[in-house]
Parts: sequence; structure tokens; C-alpha cells
Amino acid sequence: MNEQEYLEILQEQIRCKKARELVASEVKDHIEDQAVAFEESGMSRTAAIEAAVCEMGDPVDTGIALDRVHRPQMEWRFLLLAVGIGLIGMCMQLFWGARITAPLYTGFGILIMLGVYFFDYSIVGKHAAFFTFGFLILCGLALFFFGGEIRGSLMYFSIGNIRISMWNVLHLYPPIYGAYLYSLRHHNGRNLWKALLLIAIPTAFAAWLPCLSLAFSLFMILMLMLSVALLKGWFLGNRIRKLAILWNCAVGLPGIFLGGIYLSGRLAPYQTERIQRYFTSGVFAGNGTIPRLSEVYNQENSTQYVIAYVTQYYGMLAGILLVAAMAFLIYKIFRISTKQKNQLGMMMGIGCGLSLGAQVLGYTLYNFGIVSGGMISYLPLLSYGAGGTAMTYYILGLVLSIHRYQSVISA
Amino acid sequence: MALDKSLVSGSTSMLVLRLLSDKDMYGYEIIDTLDQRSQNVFQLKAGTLYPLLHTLENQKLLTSYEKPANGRTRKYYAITKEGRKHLTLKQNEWQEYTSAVAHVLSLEV
Repeated sequence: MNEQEYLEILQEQIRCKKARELVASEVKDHIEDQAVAFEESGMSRTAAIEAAVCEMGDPVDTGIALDRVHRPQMEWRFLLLAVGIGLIGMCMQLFWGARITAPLYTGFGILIMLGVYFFDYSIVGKHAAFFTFGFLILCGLALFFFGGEIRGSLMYFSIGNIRISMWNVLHLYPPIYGAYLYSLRHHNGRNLWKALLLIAIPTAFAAWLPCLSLAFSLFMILMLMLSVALLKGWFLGNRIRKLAILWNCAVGLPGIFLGGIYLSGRLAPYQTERIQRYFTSGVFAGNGTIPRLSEVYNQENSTQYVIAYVTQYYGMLAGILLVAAMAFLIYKIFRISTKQKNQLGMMMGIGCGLSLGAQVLGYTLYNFGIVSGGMISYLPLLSYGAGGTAMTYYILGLVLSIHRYQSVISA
Repeated sequence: MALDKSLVSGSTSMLVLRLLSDKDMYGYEIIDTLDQRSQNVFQLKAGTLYPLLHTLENQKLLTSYEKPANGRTRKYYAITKEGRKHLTLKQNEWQEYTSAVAHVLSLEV
């Protein structure tokens, strides 16, 4: 049996296609090392290779043993947690009087999650620039050509009869940005400007909607991801110095954006008034009280005020348990992501965690009256809404995919 | 002397972890070092070693990285903190085992 035949038989035993390449490359190197040792002992090159292959043993036995190690993995506890919370949300919506579309959205969302789970996310890493710029171009087209102004906001755009929220679309961006950061690693440190540009563009889109809470949230998410990349040494140069310059600029950049938007007159009167109040009243946010909600099912308590509604009508403990469940889910996402050996999975996973985590945090603070809401109207897995459900389950599917391929995608 | 395979299989992971606790190594180097240190008693096959290394890596007892060597990229393995703890545990178990065997065989310890 020659080297090629050995490797083919070995790889055939391994069901996971992604793992085959990794394993074959390592085994090939071993054969080469063994052959070199035989050559040093006096064998010819051909004889050395043949002897080295013979030394490897039975390729079927070895392949079967490696197949057992490299099975794609499902994080069952995370899946059960996510589906469990989603079903609780669906039941709550139905119990409160939601239309039958609530279970349809949840069912569709779970299908999206399972579909994304089987998707090989490393493809996004391989073609990061294509996915990143493509995503931003599509967002730009949606915003400026397919959107329509509704009460001063460009939040929604339409494709046929389907209305899509930019809130949900832009929250899909962080994992893609993570893949782009991964593609820039270990290149010339001057690539940092590209990373910054790809923070500025989606933030500008959000600010143009205008949705300042989304712009701020997105900006902070992407800056945190860039900070992680800097700390990991993905950009050449002094990490701490770069981080310090970055965050010093980060304090100034939102000010420049806000100032520009404010001066352009793009903001609605209520937003201008809110900004003036923030800077003149000394109070960080709204009036600090939880809104008194109708017990009758309506859009407010099914989308914007799920936590406040549960707290008001089922008690503080119920509200706290709800928030704790969501917090635990976000914690699990970060745990899965940071445990990754492969850096692409880690960074995309962090993007997923920050994207959902920022929404959960913002929504919770809004529901407890700690911040003014702006457009914070969706709590992942629990609020009613087709677009939000699709976005949430897509991100959860991506996390499961990252876990699935953790042992078969190289660092 | 060729040993009964069952005597060897249970302790292979301990031996590999022990070698890697001294320094990071690549696959062929592990086999070669084990062969030399055991005076040709433990002649591990690559078909046994690589599934073991990958299993230990999945269990977070080892980690791996690539390093250029002689014009190609070689995959090195390094022991982790958990790996060292596991090694200590296994060494203690081995000491207890060999001591018990020696007593039964009435060998002086």
C-alpha cells in the first residue's frame, strides 16, 4: 500500500468531512518524519516511504478510532435551554391572547436554528470580506432604496409584502464582523483602520434610521469585539497602547456621530428633547418608573414590556426568574465561545453573545425604567415578532454550529 | 521483550502526558522518545498515538499548535494545567498499583 492509498482508506473511515483534512495532514507529516528517519539509516527514499506507511498500522482501525474522536458535537443542554425558553415565551404569548402565529414563528425559528446548526460556519471565515461587505452593501440598499419613512423612522424596509426590521438585520452583523476580524489577524497592524471602518458603517446606518440606542449598542458590541482581537494580539504592535488609543477615540466618536446627526436635523423632535434633557437635567435616563400596563393583551406587553408585565401581574420573583433565565442563556453562549480552541469560532461566538446579550440587557434596563427605550422593543425568545424570532434562532443556531465543529476546525 | 498489550494500553495516556510534561512535542517525536526512554519496550504505533492525542486534546488535557519546521508546518502538543493535574492523579494511582502488585508478588519495595 502506498502513502496515498493509506491516507484515502484512513479518511474514508472518518464521517466528519471537516476532520478528514486535519487528520490527513497530520498523518502525512508523521509518515514524512518516519521516512526521513529511515533514510538516515540508509534506506532509499522509495523504500523509506513504503516502510513508513507499513509502520502506520491498519488504516481502517486507525480511521475508526479517529472517527470516534472527531464526531460533530451537539451541545444538548444549551439546545434544551434555548428551546425551553422559547417555548415558555410562546406559551406566555398564547396564554395572554396572542394569535396562532406565535407557535408558528417559534416553530419556524427552531427550524432556522437547526438549519444553521448544520451550516459550516468556517465558510464565513474563509470569505469574510465577501460576507462582510456584501452584508453592509445589502443593508445600505435596504436602508436607502427599499425603506420607507414611517413616523420619521427608516427602521423598516419591504421586500414584496414582507416588512423587515433593520433592528433585527443589524443584530446579525456582529458574528460576521467577528469573522472579518479573524481574517485580519496577524496581518500588518495598519489593517486596524479597516476594522474601525467596519464599525463606523453599520453604526452610521443605525444612527441614520435614526435609532440612537441601536447605534450605541452596535458600536459598543463591535468595539468590545475589536478590543478582544487587540488583546489576543491579532493586530501587530503594542496591544495596550492600541487599546488605549481605541477607547479614547471611542468616547469621541459617538460624540462626533451624535453631533453630526444632531446638527443635520435628522433627529425627530422627541429625540432632540431627550438628548437635551440628558445633558441638562443631570438624570441619566427616564423617570425611573415601570409603566403601568394594561392587563389586556396588546402590542406593548407582548413585545416591549414582557418583563414589566410578568413582574406586575405575576410578581417580582417571576420577573427575576425570567431575567435570570435569559442571563444564564447569554452566559452559556459566552462559555461555549470562549472555550473554543479555534479562534474564528471564538470570535464569531463572542459576536453572537454580545448581540443577544446587549438586547437582553437593554430590554431589562428599559423595562425596569432605568433607561429610556428608544426602539428597544424586542426581548430575544420571549417577545412576539417574526423577524426577531428568526434573528434570535439564527444566532442560537450559529452558536450550536460553532460548538458542533469545535474539534474539527483548526485553530 | 514484547509485553501483553493489556498491560500497556491502560497506562499509555499517562506515559504520553509524562513526556509532554517535560516539553512540547510532535507526534513522531513522542513515539521516538517513548521508545528510547523505555529502552525499546514501549513501541507505540502511530495508529494508537493519534487517536489518543486527539482524545486528550478534546478532554482539554492537551492543547496543540502549529510551528514551522524544515520548510513545513508541524503540529506540536503541549500539556495543559488540567493535564498536569490528571497526570499527578494517574501517577499516584500507578504507584499504588505497582506497590500492591509488588507486595502480592513478595518483592522487596
